[in-house]
Amino acid sequence: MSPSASSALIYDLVRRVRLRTFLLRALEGFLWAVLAAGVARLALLLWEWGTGTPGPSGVVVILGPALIVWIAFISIGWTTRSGTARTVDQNLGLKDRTLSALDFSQRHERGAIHDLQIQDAAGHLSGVRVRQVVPWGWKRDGGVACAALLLLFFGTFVPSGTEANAIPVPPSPPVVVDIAEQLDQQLEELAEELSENEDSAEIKDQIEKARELAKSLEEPGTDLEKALETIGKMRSSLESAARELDLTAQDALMMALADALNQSPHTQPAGLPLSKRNFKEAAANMDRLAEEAGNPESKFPERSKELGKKAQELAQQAQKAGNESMQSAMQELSDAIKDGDSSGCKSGLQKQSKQTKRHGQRADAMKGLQSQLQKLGQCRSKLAGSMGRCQGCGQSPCQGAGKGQCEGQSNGEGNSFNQSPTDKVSQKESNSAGMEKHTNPYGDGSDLDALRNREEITASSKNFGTSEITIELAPEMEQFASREYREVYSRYKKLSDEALEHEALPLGYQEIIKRYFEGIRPHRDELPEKE
Amino acid sequence: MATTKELQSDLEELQKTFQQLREEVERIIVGHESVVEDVLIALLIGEHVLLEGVPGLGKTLLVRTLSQVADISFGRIQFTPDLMPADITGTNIVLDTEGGRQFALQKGPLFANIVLADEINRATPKTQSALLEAMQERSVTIAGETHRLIEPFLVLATQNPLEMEGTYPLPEAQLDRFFYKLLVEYPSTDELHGILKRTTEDDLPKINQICTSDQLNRMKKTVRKIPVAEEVMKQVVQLVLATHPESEITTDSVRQYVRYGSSPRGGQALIQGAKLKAVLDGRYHVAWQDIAALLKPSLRHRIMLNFEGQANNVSPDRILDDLARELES
Repeated sequence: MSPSASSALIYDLVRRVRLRTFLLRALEGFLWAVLAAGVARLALLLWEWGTGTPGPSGVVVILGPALIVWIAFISIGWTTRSGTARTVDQNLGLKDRTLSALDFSQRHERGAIHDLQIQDAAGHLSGVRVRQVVPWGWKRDGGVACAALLLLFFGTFVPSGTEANAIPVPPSPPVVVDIAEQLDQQLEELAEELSENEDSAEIKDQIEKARELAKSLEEPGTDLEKALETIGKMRSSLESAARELDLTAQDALMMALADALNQSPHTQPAGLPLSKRNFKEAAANMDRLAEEAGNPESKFPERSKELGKKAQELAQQAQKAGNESMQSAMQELSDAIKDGDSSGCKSGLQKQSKQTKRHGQRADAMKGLQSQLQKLGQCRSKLAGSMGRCQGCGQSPCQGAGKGQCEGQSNGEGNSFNQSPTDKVSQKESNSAGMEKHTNPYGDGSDLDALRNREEITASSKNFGTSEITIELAPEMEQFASREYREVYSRYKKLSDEALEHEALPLGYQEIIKRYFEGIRPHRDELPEKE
Repeated sequence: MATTKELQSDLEELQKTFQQLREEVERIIVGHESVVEDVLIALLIGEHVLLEGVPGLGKTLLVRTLSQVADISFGRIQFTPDLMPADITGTNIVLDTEGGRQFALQKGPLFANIVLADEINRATPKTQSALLEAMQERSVTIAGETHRLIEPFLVLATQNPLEMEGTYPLPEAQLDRFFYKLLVEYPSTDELHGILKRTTEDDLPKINQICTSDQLNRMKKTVRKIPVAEEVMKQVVQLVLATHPESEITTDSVRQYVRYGSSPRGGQALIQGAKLKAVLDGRYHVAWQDIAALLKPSLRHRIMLNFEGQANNVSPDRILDDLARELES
């Protein structure tokens, strides 16, 4: 075989061995990756069984190690050409023949000896099968595959710790379910009513939030404690909505308008219902009054001079309160009365009629909200009663007793420790006396001013007191207590040199002494510095 | 340039000659196969050897036999404390001739192909140093005149490790000149039996001459042609560097017990010897196995132990074993 043919044969074999090594490594890596995934899954299961809490994401925990193992195998599997040649030599016992032949065949200047070597290597490699060089370790890989499958089977079909330890969620108590249903219905009605009368998005959001909370009461696992907490949250939402729908300023303006209308007999039909907060009737009468004022023959402006002045004042008050609609209506009415403009009077009164009607609707919505808050208070009392707590404040023992904090929240039932809903007093001895746990038996800490009578004292450094210890500064403090190795070595080396020079020692022993001192010679950095 | 066939025939001749030399030496020397092989390798590559062993193990006989089988000149120097450099290199002496008195060079025993420096550590460092030039430069300077030594030239020195009294251990510079340091071990039972039988019989075997000095020189040139792959060369470089405690790729034992590692001559000795080993194994390239086989003879005398190593009686061979294991893995 010619040297070039021999080189081609070696290259081809090395290429095929390299490829097979890579593929086998990839396969082995895959099996080990599956095994790693199985082990990771097992570890995750054990962790979940041990802690009873769900572990980190299974995908990351299982696929992470598997991917790392596989990449590691693949990166190891991709060897260099020289590395492959070395593998061939090792597996076939060729004593670096392939490695050397590869090197020599790449050289530009090749001699006869190189050709001989390449031919020799080719002679040894001809007829060699790739599987001889890189055999598939089916015993080991098969074992790994079986173990991986076993672990995967185990990891797939054994329930996780959280599933096995999962405690069945108890259904909500019937009293909570009843309350939840009632509240949901009531809040739905309230929402409908508000949608007709009020268009504030904030109020609608709060109502919707309260409805969601009411629905959450129906979920399994809601105990009485949680239900009380949820009702507290619902109250907060509805109170926020009520604060948003504040009618106090508007109401005061309406009452002032009622007083103004009641001063004149011909406007009293509109003023009286307004005084009684009958806004609907007041609005209707105001419309009729507007029709009458629109007729010039009625001489409404002349008869309503006093109303005009009051309307002017009301316009200013409405402007301060930020009610532009009412300010505009009152200003128009006032101007029209002053100018004797019948049509202006009609227009101003019609505008105010609309305002009154609108206010009436908002007052109805507020009533609905307040009614709902009262109902929530009743529900809370009912729940607290079921838990044996104060029906007023919901605490056990009552923390509002005697302080007026429970008023209005227990629907007039007052404080009623452990009072059953049927109002019957049990004649049996209590089995739970003294069994209740309390997290704060001593109450909150007193709020005393800890900094009271505190004095800032500044020391004076003018005079030193007497001292029992005297410290003297001495130069020894800054020196080393021990001697340096190099100093000791130099001293003894000098002594040994003198002894070797002047004393009669056998030649062999002289050499031993010299070697000894050479052996214990300090390192370069320990040698004394030359001056 | 030699053709493939010529080269092949040279290598075959080398193999054959080596085998014959070995067989001939083994007719005289009982046992010590590895020592005989390593000494023959040194002979064929023309490098110096230090033989260490207790007296009476056949070190001197081995060297003398070697000179006889190869038909080359042999010089023997028995080193003693009063030996002077001129005693081994030679000196100019005054001769009375017809034309009057004149200086003539009286060559010392160094002017031989094989020089047996027996018990080399008994001579003073001054005399030992006289060997330095001869061993490295293959020349001696007498009275200001440099004389080339005849090729092949190799010094085979022996030393006794037991009797330290009155000896001068070889300085590191001179130890480094020896390509190999071979330990001549005590013979086994069978070997001792063979020695006693062979040396007490009436007829001592007659030594046959196998090759000439010219053949030896030619074979030396042939061995140098054996190529070394880059990867193997890198391994040798790593190995030599790893004998130094400061090296990053060394072992713990080197760091702990070695003061100085091998010089580049250690690497040269490894590669030259490995080339001949490869030829003897029928290969045309040097393999790691050839290097590993010559690791201890080539490097054991080039590793200088520190105080801890000497105090713990650590042998350089153990350190080299660790090193070889580490590099092979």
